[in-house]
Amino acid sequence: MENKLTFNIEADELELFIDEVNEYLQVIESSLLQLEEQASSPETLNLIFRAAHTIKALAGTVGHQRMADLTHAMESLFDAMRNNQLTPTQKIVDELFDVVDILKILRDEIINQQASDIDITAVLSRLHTLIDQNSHKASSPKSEVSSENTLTPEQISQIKKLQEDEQSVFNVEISTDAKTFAPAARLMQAAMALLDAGQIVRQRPTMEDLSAGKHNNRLEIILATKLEGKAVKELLADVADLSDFQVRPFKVEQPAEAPPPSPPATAPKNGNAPVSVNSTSKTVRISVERLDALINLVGELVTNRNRLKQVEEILRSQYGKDETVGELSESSTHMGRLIDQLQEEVMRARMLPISHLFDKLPRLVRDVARTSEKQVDLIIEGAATELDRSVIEVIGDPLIHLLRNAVDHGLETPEQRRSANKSETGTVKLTAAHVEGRVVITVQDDGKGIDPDRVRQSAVKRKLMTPERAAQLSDEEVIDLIFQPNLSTAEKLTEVSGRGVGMDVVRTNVERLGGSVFVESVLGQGTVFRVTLPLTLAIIETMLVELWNTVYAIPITGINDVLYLSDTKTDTISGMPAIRWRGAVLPLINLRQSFADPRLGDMPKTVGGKQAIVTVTWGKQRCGLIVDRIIGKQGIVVKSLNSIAGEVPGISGCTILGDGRVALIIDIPGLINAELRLRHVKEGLKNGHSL
Amino acid sequence: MYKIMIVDDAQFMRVRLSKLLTGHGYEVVEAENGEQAVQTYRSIKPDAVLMDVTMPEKDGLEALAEIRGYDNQAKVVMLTALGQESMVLQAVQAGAKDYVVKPFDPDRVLRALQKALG
Repeated sequence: MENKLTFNIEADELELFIDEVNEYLQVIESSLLQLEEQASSPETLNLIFRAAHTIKALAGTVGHQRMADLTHAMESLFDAMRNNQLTPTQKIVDELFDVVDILKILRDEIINQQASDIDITAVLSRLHTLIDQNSHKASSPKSEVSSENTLTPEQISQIKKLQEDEQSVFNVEISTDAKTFAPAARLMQAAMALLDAGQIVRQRPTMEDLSAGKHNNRLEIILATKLEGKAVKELLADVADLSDFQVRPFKVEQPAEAPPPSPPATAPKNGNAPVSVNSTSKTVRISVERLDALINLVGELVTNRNRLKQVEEILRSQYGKDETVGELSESSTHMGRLIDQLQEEVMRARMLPISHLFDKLPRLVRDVARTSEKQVDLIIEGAATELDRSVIEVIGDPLIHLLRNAVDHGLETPEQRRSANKSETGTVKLTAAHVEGRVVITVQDDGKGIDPDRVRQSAVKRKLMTPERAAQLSDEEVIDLIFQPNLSTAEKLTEVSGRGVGMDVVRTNVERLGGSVFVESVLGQGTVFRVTLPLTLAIIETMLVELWNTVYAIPITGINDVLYLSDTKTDTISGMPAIRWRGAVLPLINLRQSFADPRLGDMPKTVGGKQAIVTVTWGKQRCGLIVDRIIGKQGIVVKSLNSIAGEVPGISGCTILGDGRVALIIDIPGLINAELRLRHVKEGLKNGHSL
Repeated sequence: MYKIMIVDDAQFMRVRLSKLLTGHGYEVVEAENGEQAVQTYRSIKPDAVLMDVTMPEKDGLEALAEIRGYDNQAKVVMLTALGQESMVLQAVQAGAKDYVVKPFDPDRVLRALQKALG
């Protein structure tokens, strides 16, 4: 391909490289936000400078010249800012945000090994103009090198004394190429090398002059040393970037006045500066694949432990209180505990603070606020909340969607807010917290709220339901309609109620993760979305149940209770089976019917085991699932079913049990949705409504 | 086998350098900031140090000064980048044996190390 790019990077280095670049881009982005809010401190400026500097080095190392050039310009700007030579105006900050976006595109060139169509010439020249306009160039007087070539009487007598002491005295002349990087430092390096070799009688330019950049790319030193001329040359040959050097035996010329020799630079002597003894936390980065491999291995262990337990039970039933069986049972229990701990540790290794995601959001909110002309304060709480990286990876898009909506549609314009007696700046609050083994993320705005009547009208207009049905629904139920796919395409709704764009996608995605999302809204006061997610997607606790002769696993997080069918009285309410449970009517779903497969033929009508009802909750919906038999609780490793069987309604995945059987994992939201929606349809038909 | 301490806050750079050095028969220890560098130097006493200038916690210049203060024979080669002329000067003045400009040429790094080690 024509625009293919190659970089000096190995495939196995790419992930680390990109991770690191992203990390520093993130630092720049959040620091820019601080700059914008004038909340920056000198530390921020140092941080942002270092970040640009490091990206420059990274880009340069893999040979991405344009990326290095751009970060170099950026770094210069930050340097000018931290030296108070440049004030970060809004225009500059805006420009820098654009640069960050361009850097992301350039970064992607490395991933894709393909040139993008981005042209950085214009932005580079704008940055350079900014640097030139604003930073006072440090004047570098380079011409003040004394041309005096004479020695003081003291120097001459010193030389004589040194020669008597059997030292050789050399006149050393060194020059560097003006084009090398930091020529003064190379000259200094040469001077330091000579200083190590003996005594410097005179040095021009002096160390001070070199430090101040006063040199004409030349250095002249009179050196007294016990080394031979050849050895001195070897020392200088070790200094890089010298264009030429001469080492000649020193001949005394005319004694006269000359600048006094500079004292040799001394190394700083603060060796006993306080060093804090905090133990350096040793961390390593592990690739996700490796962690996943570990998870899978632990999963196999869990499976085998379960198998071992089964074998143990069989042995116990055969041999009773046999001593060996007892020992086996003891060691298998112990191993079980170890495996539990191992599993927990591995899971913990996969946990990341949600700040990995949250950190990206202030920028997003800023951009949305700008385009929609809103004023927003974004408050973030609980950014340190940890959850599995698999969850973090997939929750990003739904969350971004909610946040974007909160700003774009939830908040009013400053004028609207003023006339509603609210402060012109709206507040959007994003929180994360652990609640009962799950993560709860909320997105809350203090905007105009959702008007249930408007949603009703819209739902009727869209023919989602009859006016009668719409009137029957409570406000709460109506507001929940914003998650309906058909409603979400309603342009009108977006305009009038301000909600609905793609909310169905948000709910679908969150539920696919075994989570839930609900909305509460008070008209005129604001809206809050509450997303509940499992901590991890890899291993879940389940209740194993049997249906006919297939094992199903019901995620324990959705289960409330287990009842025996024989202990309850089944009524028929609205033509559907239901029981009274805890003072409420609980619709029943017979899983035998839900998962009846015509290919298997009819299931036997009679059930061998003791039929049970597992009551489950999903959001505000409760129902009871009728199963043939309860097997027991078990932690399982989730495996995807998609690659084998495609999407199966009501089933979210599968797992391999200890005895090698496959168990299907029940997708509670999917099941409830499918079953209860079906009932609404039937109900509607019975009542003579057209849909 | 010479033991070299690599100090850089960017892990990618450490990995790169580490690959290069171990590939040429050096043993490598890593530190990710100046503070760690000083502590690691004290506990491990490497034969030479390759150290970045710009780092969090404690920058390369401070770390260099502390390391040289602790061991005035310390052989430190600075890693630097364009735009840091004055820092390099300070580093050399503070006893850095050499410096290599990033993006670095592997041969230059190796040569600088060989020279520093003598």
